[in-house]
Amino acid sequence: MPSYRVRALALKKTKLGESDLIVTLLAEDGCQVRAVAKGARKPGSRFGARVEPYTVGDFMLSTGRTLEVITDAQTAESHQHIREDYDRAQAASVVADVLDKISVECQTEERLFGLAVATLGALQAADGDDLLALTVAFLVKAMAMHGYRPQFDACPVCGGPVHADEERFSLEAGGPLCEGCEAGAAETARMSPGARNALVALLGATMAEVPGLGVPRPVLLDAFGLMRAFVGYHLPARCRALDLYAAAVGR
Amino acid sequence: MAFYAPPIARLLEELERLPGIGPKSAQRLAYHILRGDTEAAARLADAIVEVKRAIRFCERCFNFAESELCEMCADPTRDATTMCVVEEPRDVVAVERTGEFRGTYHVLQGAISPIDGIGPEQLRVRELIDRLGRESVSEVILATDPDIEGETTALYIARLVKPLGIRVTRIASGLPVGGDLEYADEVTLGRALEARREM
Repeated sequence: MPSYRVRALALKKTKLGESDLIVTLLAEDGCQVRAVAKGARKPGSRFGARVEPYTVGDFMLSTGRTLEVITDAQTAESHQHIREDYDRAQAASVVADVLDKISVECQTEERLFGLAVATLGALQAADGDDLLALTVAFLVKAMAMHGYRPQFDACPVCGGPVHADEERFSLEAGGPLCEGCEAGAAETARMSPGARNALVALLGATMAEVPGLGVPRPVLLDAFGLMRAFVGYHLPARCRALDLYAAAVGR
Repeated sequence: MAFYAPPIARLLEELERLPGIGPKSAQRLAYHILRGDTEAAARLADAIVEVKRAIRFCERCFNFAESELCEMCADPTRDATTMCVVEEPRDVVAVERTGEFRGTYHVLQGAISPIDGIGPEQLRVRELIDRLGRESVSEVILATDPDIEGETTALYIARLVKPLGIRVTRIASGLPVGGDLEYADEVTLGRALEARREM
């Protein structure tokens, strides 16, 4: 069995047999890797916390018949503070769930790993509304990296000018529609001017800068609702963590 | 071409539905049943039917029970002021095996796992809060698994229970007895150091 080393973020784990786990990893190059961690559920396992979700580690993988097999793991960053706070853990679960849905085996997207690590790093130190701001920023950036970057400055269908006040956001085209295109559009969601400005700012900011933007909570909730609809429209599978997070933040 | 006679194929199909049983294990179990006497097969079938018929959830703690209350809830000698909250009925067995706990239990029937769509509403959390309102519990021990789902569940329950004025404790994390320190992961060793005790 050929083996190789990879730095990766653990996204999800699934129980396998009596004491094994299937761990879904996001590799540094953005590819998804599913690997078996043998005996990882036993208290004396050498993997222990190293394959827990949100852990960034260096994994030694062997190529198995169907899945890779983890033969060694070293922790680079455990993101321990996320596990110690319920609100942070909820926000991080959205990050992991969306990454699990948008990352693909053997399909590289190097920016995705950087975004994931930066988001989890920022979540570790965040509280209150900053968690919501970071979650919305992650959603809009992740969708952009997945090929669905929203366009806010012009109608995404015809390129024409859009309203300055409340608009209909096309989930299919990924942007606010002009008057002419709005009439025939099917899947749309309401977008307030505040939400639009917030999404533009969040898209342009680094994760470390997001808490400093000071976007008010009602505006963040509007932006979150819009991004949730956008993510739900484009991703092939339902993001359950996003649904639970929406219920928790009252959206 | 069918490799097995239809009754054997049916038995294999049913056995393969069981957790941890693959085609080879199913074949081994099926051949063991076939080689055994008819009475042994009947006893196995009866035991399966009987357990499904007779066992239900305890109305108080949601552990498995043969009557309205499980053995622990029906035992008047147990300490009703201390409650141990666990994820699954099998965790009750694990805690009981230690012989260190003589209080009552509450089984959540799972753990919060947002990625799997399991939130607090899918668990027996509301029933736990109702119980704490009715019963005179002074300490709740959160014995959920020390993984991300178990920790999240413990944090959620602690947030609900603490305002009730009840002491909330979490089982300790640390090194397994008989294990080598050098193989311990950083988080486990860190927690073991954090929860060190005076000797």
